[in-house]
Amino acid sequence: MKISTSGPSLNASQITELNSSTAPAVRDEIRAALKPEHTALVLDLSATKFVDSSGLGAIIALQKTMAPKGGTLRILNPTPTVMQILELTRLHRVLDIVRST
Amino acid sequence: MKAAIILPEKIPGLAALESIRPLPLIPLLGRSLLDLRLEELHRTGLREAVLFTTHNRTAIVDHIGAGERWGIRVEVRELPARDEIHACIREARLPVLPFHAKCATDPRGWFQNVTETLERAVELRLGMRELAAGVRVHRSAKIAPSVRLVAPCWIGANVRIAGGVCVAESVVESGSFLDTGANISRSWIGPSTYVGADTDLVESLAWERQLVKWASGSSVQIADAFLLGPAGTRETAAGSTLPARAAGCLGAIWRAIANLPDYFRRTGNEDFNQRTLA
Repeated sequence: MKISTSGPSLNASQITELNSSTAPAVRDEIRAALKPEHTALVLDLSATKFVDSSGLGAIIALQKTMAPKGGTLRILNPTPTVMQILELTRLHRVLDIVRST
Repeated sequence: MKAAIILPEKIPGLAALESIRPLPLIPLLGRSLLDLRLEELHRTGLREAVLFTTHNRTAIVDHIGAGERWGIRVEVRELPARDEIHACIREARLPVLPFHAKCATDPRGWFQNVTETLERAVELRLGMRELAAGVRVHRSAKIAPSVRLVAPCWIGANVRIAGGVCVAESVVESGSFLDTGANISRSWIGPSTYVGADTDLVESLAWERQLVKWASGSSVQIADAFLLGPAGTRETAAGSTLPARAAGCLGAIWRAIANLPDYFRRTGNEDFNQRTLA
């Protein structure tokens, strides 16, 4: 995983899998990198091949981390398979998903 | 009349479905493509057929046997390559009949087959009833009163649908279980599939753990059985021990006896049907 900062936004990318063995570490690493000045968290899921319920749990946990300080979580370019899982669980209705063409 | 039928090779676009069952044996409204084809051919006078395949001979023989069910004497031959099959047919001087007029080559084509079969299925098959125009439900299906069924839809044998589910313009094959609040729209649910509570299946083919978006062809294997998976494992997990099954049987008999007076009071299933379609 790669974590970078651009202005008030923290970007996490190159996440290949979000499953029970990787999701807690990804969540904790992002939480540790978050600074008070970060008002936006962008999860780039364009390289993510697989997500399970633990991965979805990590995404929701990160959203809950951002919410109390008025921050936002944005999912960027999820792969079609990740999008299928978000749609299956109806999370696409509550998450901010951005797909650039 | 005797003829040869060449069964389709593995189709890359349908790999997700074929990982569970060979394409000719995948059911479409309760009957496999091969069943439907043999029925059609029997009506046209075919009484003897040689089925050629490049793979899965055992599964096909297990399913059709010698063809007694269709009144056609069937022989299944497996040859490694299409060239060899064609050479064999030339040598035997057999006419070749197509396996399926429009055999799907991708998920979108598969769903098109589903909707066309749904539209063509005018006559009610044994065990099916029509709750409303275009809403066909097998008599053995157990559907909660709050379920919404939107035509055209087809619910197969032994399907269980829990409360708050909506099934619209979809097919649910036999033995599947749709849990509370699931939303199924323009989709095909394969046999013996569990669809988890409050899930959303739109424009999808779902069979056991396989989930295919038919419009885009994107497919994924769902890791969490509480979202999507085989229905069978759930049933056996609930009552796998003999005492549990015996207790279940006794309970069912007791409930049947207790409900007998109520059964005789009712004139039919109208009340249930109306609630089902509310």
